Amino acid sequence: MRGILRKLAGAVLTLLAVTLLVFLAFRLIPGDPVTALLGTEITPERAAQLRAEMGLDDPLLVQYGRWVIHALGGDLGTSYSYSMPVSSMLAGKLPITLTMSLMAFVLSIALAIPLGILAAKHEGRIFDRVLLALCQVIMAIPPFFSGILLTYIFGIVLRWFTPGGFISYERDMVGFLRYLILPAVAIALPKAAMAAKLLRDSVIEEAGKDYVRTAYSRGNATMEVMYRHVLRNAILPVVTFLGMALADMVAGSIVVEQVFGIPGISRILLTSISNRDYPVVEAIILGIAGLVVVANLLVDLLYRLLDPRLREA
Amino acid sequence: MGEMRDDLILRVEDLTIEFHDHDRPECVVEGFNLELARGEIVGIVGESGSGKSMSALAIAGLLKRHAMTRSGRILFQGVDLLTCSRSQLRSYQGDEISIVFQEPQTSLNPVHRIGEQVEESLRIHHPEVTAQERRERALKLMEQVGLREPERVYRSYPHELSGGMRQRVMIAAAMIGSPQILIADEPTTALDVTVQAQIIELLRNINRREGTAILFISHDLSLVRSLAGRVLVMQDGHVVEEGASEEVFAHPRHPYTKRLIAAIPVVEL
Repeated sequence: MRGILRKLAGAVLTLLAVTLLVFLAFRLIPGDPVTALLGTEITPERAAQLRAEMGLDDPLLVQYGRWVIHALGGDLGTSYSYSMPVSSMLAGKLPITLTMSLMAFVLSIALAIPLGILAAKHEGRIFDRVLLALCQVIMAIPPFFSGILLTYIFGIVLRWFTPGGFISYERDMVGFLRYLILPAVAIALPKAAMAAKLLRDSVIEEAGKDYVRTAYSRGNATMEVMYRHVLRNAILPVVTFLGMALADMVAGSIVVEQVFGIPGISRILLTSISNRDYPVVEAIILGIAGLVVVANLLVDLLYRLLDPRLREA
Repeated sequence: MGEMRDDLILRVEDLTIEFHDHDRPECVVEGFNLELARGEIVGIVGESGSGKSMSALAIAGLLKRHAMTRSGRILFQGVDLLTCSRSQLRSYQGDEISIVFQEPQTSLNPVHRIGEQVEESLRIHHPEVTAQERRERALKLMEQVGLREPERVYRSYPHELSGGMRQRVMIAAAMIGSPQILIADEPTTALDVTVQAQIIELLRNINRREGTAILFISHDLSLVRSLAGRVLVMQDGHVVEEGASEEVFAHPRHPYTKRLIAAIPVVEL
């Protein structure tokens, strides 16, 4: 219990550190929102006036403190360029990106676990070798490239979907999900390949341990030994990897959204960065960092659940 | 199928095991013969690499089938364990023939509770036994093998127990199906001397109470002598001497046996 409290405190500190870093980084790079907002009508007086109105003249820590206090109250501020609340700007977009990332995550688990076990079972034989070679190749293909390939094959050659098309989830849930499948596949493939290889190696290592021989000595069939005894031990490193991969997939989905023309948070993020629209960028980074932190906490909990040796720690 | 004397439950005939890890096949056991009667304790003694553990694993049906060839016969209830189907072999494993290993530290699955592991053979071979009944049997057996607070141990994980307790757990797990044969492969080697004596005493009690035949494998001739009525001495894959333990101990014929006896440290008090 104390371990968990310490983890939670660590998570909050991580979020503070990440947002502070983003905050400082933005003040260091050239360009500011005032210039971007006023454009050609800029005069030094108007710029100074606007800067004061937006509170950009205050010391950095005061500005950051103000943002934190508002964020804690659930107020993520107002977009400079769109003059609308950041939360309502993201409300329509975040579900799209999150759904896609989650689909990719589930897909990579669903691919990696059976394939990893199957490869380990056929260690050294043809299935194992082909799968390993395939994993090696797939691991090296970045999602944006496999995204282009998938669009070409399924969109242009097979015409299963309209490239660049999209259906909003408010209109048609099934159509919405169908348009997200290919981008999710593009994001999932390299992670699934990595996880499958990791699981294969881990299963092979575990299968040589003494407790496996004990399991056989009690009359377990091979599949029972695999699923009841080996898998739970072998899956531990894979859980760690997938926890990290989840955050990576959300970040990766920003690029893939561009390739498939999915109106998630990627466009807002990119335009906000070039417009120096701090509140929007901060909110999105906060979201992604939050997801990483939550994923890490979940991995930790899952670890304790799977491995009793870690529970006292 | 071979006929056996009435009181025999296991007969190993001319067992030969060859490894194929290297270019030339390597013989680890050659021409091994053994007869085990109901309720008997037979010891196999020898140094590491003498083939005693290999023979034990072969009888328990635990040799990896592809890494080696075997010839000869291992007859249990008239069935040759070397040639019978995997499913028939499995039906004996843990139910009729059980094994306890040398390494109690690593032989238990670290992520399963002790209770689950003790009950496993019963769950596999006797699905008709209810979970409640299984639990009761496991707890009773755990008490019999000398585990204090069986309720607490039942809910524990292996890493929470000492080496001696884990070996008692292994023995309880091996005995839950009331097997005909218990193979104990160096069960006390990893334990300290006091615990060692307790485990030997426990095996003797199991043999007397349940009538379970025990195949006791050890590098320690004095342990074998204190437990087994009959002993086989193995060297380099061959049985070099065989006989009643007292007789072998008092009048060893083979030079290797003499060396083994000479190697037993004499404790002077």
